[in-house]
Amino acid sequence: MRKIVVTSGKGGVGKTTVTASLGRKLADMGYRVVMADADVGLNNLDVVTGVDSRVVYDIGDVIAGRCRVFQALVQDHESTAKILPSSGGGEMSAQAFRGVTDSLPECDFLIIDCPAGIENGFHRAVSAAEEAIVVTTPSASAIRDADKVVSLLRAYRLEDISLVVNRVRPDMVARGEMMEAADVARLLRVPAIGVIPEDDCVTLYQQLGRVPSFALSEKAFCLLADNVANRTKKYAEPATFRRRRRWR
Amino acid sequence: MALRASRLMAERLKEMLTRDKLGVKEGFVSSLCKDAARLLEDYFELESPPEVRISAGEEGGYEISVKALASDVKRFETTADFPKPEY
Repeated sequence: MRKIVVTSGKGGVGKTTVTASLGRKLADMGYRVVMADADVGLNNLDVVTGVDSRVVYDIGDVIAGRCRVFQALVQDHESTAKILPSSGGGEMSAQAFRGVTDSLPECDFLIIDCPAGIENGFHRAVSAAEEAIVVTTPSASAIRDADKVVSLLRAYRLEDISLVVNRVRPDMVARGEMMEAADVARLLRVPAIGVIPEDDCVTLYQQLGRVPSFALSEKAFCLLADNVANRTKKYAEPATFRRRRRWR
Repeated sequence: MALRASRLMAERLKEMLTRDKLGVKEGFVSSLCKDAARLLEDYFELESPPEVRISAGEEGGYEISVKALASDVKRFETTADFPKPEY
């Protein structure tokens, strides 16, 4: 089982969106996927995936011994992936979280949604993982925080650290008003495996718990999942993505 | 004009990230300058203290450039200049 943490440092850059979309794409490719929410208190993976109303047990219940780990897993309605929701409050040690992830039923990928910041929650999520995906946007504050996170991740001696540049505006990149993903990767000295364009569909449909297949970012998420599955480091700047016109 | 924005931001970030890493100790650059001056003064008649510039390298690591103006070279002999003994 490959354990991958999706982290960023700065909040609001799209960690949970990347976790959900990556998990679903890997599941669509035929892999057995579990997406775990490591954010205690500010858990949102269940909301983003739209399973919030079907959560019976969460990871807090597993640790407290109120249920078995497979009972806490919620089946995603958009894919074959399963979601391990986090509790809305309380404390959770890194050891306890790792214990739960180690006892998961057999699966190919465990995608861990890391909380924002670099405190206990970060340590909890990263210590249970073997690989990391750092998500950033092309903004100065997000890149600066990502740089600090990358420095911290190097101390964990993970097998691999990769970068996803999210919310890229191809029109601004073309006009030279926004940094290209290649520049961001060069600054952070981490190979990029995904460049996700800013997509209104994600903003709009995520509130409904699913992103439609015609969304502009779908192609980028497919390429990201392909990179993760095959351990490759290819990406395309979103300027190459064009939404197909429908002629009637 | 438009092309400059992303390039300026990249430059700004490059400096910011380098400063973040070096900024752990405030006196890092000033003590490096003093040490560089002390070393160079052994070899040159310096006109002014050397300027030290540190930036993040393209392929990781750091680029360190020291710029100093000197009026003269100090003449001295080293053991390498001595004639080698004959056996």
